[in-house]
Amino acid sequence: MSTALDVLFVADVRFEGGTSTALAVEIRTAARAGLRTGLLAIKGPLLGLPFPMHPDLRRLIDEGLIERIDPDMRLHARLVLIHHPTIIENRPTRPLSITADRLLVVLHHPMYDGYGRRQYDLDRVVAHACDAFGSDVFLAPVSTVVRDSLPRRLPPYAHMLEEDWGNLIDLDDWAAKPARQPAYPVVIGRHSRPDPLKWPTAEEVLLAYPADGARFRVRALGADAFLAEKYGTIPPNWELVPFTWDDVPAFLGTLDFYVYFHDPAWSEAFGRTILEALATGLVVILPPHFALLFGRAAVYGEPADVERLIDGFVSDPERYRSQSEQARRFVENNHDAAIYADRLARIMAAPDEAVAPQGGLFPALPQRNVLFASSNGIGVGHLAQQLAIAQRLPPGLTPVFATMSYSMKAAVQQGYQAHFLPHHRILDADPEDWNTCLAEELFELIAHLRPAVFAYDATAVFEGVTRALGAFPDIFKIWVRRPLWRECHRVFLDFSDRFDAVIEPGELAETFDHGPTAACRKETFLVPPVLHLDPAERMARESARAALDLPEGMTVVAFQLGSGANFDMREVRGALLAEVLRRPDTIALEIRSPITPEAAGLERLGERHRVVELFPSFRFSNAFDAAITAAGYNTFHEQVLGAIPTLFVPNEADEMDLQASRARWAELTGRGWLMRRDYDLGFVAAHVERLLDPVERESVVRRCRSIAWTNGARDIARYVEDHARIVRTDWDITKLGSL
Amino acid sequence: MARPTCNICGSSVFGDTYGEKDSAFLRQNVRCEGCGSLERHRLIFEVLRLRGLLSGNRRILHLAPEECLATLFRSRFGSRYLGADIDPGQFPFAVARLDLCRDLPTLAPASFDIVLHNHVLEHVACDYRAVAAGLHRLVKPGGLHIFSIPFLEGGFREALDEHIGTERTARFGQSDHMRIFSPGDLAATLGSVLPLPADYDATRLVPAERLLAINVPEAAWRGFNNNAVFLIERQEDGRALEAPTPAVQPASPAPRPPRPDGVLFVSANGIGQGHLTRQLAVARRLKHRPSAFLTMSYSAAIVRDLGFPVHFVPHHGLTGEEPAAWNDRLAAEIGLLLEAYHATTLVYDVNFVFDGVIKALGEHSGVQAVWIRRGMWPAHHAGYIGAGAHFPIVIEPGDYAGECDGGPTVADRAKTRLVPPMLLIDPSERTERAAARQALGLPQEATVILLDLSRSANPDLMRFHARLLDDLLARPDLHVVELQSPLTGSAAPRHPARHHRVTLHPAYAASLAWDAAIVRASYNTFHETIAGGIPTLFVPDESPDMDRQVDRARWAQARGAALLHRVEDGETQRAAALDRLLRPDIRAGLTAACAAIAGADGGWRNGAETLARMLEGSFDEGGAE
Repeated sequence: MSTALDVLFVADVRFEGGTSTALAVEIRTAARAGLRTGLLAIKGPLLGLPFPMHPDLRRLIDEGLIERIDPDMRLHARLVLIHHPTIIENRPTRPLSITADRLLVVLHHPMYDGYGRRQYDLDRVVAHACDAFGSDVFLAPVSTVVRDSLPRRLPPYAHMLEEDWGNLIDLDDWAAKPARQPAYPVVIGRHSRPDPLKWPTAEEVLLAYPADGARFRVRALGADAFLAEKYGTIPPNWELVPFTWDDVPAFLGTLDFYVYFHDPAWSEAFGRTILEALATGLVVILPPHFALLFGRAAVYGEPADVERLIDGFVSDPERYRSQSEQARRFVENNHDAAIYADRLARIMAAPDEAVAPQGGLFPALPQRNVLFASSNGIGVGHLAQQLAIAQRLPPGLTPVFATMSYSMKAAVQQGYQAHFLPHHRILDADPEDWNTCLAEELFELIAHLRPAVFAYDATAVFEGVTRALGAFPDIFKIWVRRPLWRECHRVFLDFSDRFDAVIEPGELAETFDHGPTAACRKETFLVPPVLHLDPAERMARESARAALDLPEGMTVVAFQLGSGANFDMREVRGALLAEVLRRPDTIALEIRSPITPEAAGLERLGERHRVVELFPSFRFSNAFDAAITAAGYNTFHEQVLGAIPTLFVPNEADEMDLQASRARWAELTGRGWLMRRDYDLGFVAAHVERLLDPVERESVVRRCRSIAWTNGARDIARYVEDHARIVRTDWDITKLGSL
Repeated sequence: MARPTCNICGSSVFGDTYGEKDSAFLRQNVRCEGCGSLERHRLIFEVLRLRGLLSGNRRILHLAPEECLATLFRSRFGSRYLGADIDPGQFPFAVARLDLCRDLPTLAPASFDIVLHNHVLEHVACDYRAVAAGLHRLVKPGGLHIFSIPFLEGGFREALDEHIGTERTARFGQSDHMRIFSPGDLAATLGSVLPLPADYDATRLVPAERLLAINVPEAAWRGFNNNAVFLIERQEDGRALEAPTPAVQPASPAPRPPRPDGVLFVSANGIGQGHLTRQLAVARRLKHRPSAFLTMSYSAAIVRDLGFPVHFVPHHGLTGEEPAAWNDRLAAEIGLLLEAYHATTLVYDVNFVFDGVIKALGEHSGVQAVWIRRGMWPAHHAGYIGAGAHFPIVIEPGDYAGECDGGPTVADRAKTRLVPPMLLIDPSERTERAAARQALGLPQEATVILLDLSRSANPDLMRFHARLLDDLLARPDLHVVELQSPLTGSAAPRHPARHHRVTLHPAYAASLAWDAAIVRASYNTFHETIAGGIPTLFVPDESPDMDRQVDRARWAQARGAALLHRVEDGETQRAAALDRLLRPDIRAGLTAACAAIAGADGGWRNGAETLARMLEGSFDEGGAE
């Protein structure tokens, strides 16, 4: 029995600009019309970088206005709408069990760009859409420009929709700007995706966007460093506002004129941004080719005409008012989202011909596995980070772990299936043989689990891993890669392209990072620092103290200097413990990692020195007044974001990331202190005295709390969720045999 | 006053009409520089907009399509819009070829919701009456035939032969005119094939101040003129005008048709309007049977306003009569009305059946008695159920929240016929948002909340209403609409700009004007809300004699289709409920959930329509569900 939908939207949900915004308006309007809709996410070939789902679309799913669809579901839709031809140019790499009364491909782009280069292969688009959904294809161009670019003779099984699939705007979201007479200096503005092709050539740019600050202010949203690359210098009367999805209406409300000229290499199919400017009631100046789309709602000219056109409006306020009113009215008449329900009703079979979907619960999404693989022998960092993500996954996704960490039991204790993969060092194995074994073991595991997403968390990428992954081209592969690499790790950068996405958890000490990954940050999906537990999830101070049997009135200093296996902390630890315990009102609470061997000899230095095994220790940290810890990624960010006054003693072993840089950042920004084993041993007393000074601690707490932060674990979990149910057309499966 | 503005494109720059220099029809300062519209186009657009005809999947035939209207129609109606002309090549957009003298039979009769042509009939080179009647036949029953034609004084004149251009200009006003119409003999010419009005007054279509605002000059307002817009509704088949046939007088006068059987609607209610509204919903859907009303409701005027005869009988509580005497009088009045209106059916709609009604039914045994009895009764009304014995037909209008009904009517369902919920106005009949706001004088952009709790006899609710009004007005930029019944006295608004008191019936027709509503969960309001997808905070009237409003509201809340607040809930809950109601994302969710409810089981159907069909057909088959 298949599930019935009114409309299934098929789209690459990662597009940043007008394509996704237009889709979001369609979905919201369809929901308002009471239609039952679903969203099938495609990973198309156009975006290589790991963009997340567009926030507008994400919000629609979160609000329940559209159902997320898994490619394994059996569905019947009265209408399937494929948004953007490129996403179906390659064959989907898996069969679909989705049928449709009507199948439509919305063509958001002309077939040829400004230089006559073909943008998509219509024959392939039609053939693959037709094969995937088993139905004839109706082509729906978004504008006359797109319609005119299409061949007169359509491919087999293709039909042309009579009406244009015009962009729609929810006028409630785009308030008309307040009436205001323009006067010099006038504000000229524009907005677009940050893309140099959306800007005119260097010869023309100052005609369209004059540098004369006495008469013009230029405000551009979605402009940044790339403009300086394109034009050299940026005139001082230009204000560049970074690209944002929110607040575009407010930005447009600050302008008097909207001027949009682009590079001749760009072919604009529609220009949703222009529509937004018109909806705001701006006087819009465009190159003449747009007249076909916007008629009298805008005024047209060459860049050299811009100043004259503006002058005409400044000297005739009534004309300005009239033009502004025409702009808004044009959108109301022709692009009001309210039209959409009628459009769908026209295109879908009449309800008496087809059975409208019945109400009732939508079936649950099929269960899928997510395989988390990590390295780490002695550490727990990578595993902890993956647990942070796993715990934030929705119920339909089952996390499974494969790790080299000796702390695997942390995952088992959380109730997850976990597999141990020993590192060649503990086996004393020949790396070559070991990689072969690793590849085989991972292959078996993946073949058994069939995970939808493979998430890898390590600095080193082992050949055994890449070999196993190579056998499963369709699994979505993510590499979560922390920054602050040492130069010696650079070799691993080359493995980036073995993964579909590289995700970089943020680093508070980012400005200290000049390592190998710093230069490739633009190619990653950047998320805020990741914590296993949110600080707010910690136990209250009283409960934590009670749980750890810590009496009130005592000053508790937590010690967590690591296992010491690769960096000997014994001497500095001893000195710090002694100094803390020298005071009568202190308790030194030494937190042992679950993997510290018993033999490490944690001898107890009296009543007030306590040794406990806690995981995750952060849960108890409200009980602590201060801490002395190493500066590994997790601990460091927990201490700072949890506002625990901490003396950081970085582990400076060669193979570790640059812990000293983190600690230095903390010290220089007043969010902690740095003490280095090999330099500062003589100053133990001074360090401890400062750490225990209530005024100093208060200041650190205040500075720590000033950091604006959300947990990157949530962003990664959502990213995994969004990619666990995608259909891939980003690679050509027909060439698989020859790859 | 603000400068006149083109209502189609927004431009306020106007120029002179184009045309041959010797044309009789040149005018100054009326052609919109933005979209090229003339007076008639703006007037047509305004009428279509005010009547909510610019949305919905209407089929439109537009002859000699003017770009100012064509672009907009294409955007809104897509492939259901057909622009056609005898010479498509002269248009910069796609237009189908259609020769009115030859091709009209190729189009299906009654296939367009709107047929529109301006200044076309004077050009056709054949019998204009055949063309006009042929075009009229293309309009669906209930659809509109909209057109304008040029006039000159001096009587209708026509020449289909080969006159040269200058002669035509001299005789017909323009070189390509085949004829010219004249105000004096219109009824005898075009009026012989189309049901034209006897005179013309544009202010009957659009208020005078609005005509000025959209630059339709006063010269074009009254009397047949070149910019007079005819809007002719196509009558139901049977009464529609057929192609002109030679008038043959029947040999003898047609026999008078038998007098149709009427329906008498009887209801109680003092302050409330619920029962009356439900009955009106049925009455206005009766096509062949006349209706009359007897009611105790103070809102009797709304019946009269909808065009039905109404007879007001005050309840004995009001007149101080002895109940027994009052019931005798009620029976007598019902009897008189049954006879006066030739009524063979009595439709009753109150939980409690008065002795006078029973007596009247006993005295008129031939009258079919129908009891519309909605569910959700409070338990202590159980004693009223027995009166069902006097009604062979009991209709229960469905309640979305019916599954929560634990009241006395549930046990009696075996003899009731369940029909879908009944509403006076179908959700799709409502006025479009912008037009509704304009009609009510509400700003287009602001957030507008309807607050309507006070029209009740429950003093708690009235107090609560007043408190909410202050809360809402304390929030900046929020506009509040209060509905006033004609019975309430007028008081000064609580805020000079943002508080609107309106007298409006049926208010539901304007409900797209508000972004959200705070209302009771009475049967009508509740179903209007859900079926119409209005984001709503329900404050149920929990006085003991009312139906179980709180159950309805809880039911909707549980489905995410509405918010619920009870009068006894505290201050903080009140503020939180308002906060939620004012969040657009929450409202979108409510609307979507409402749509899911109303769309279930094959979508919205009006039980009033079902009952109307039963009343005009039979109660034995079909209909009931």
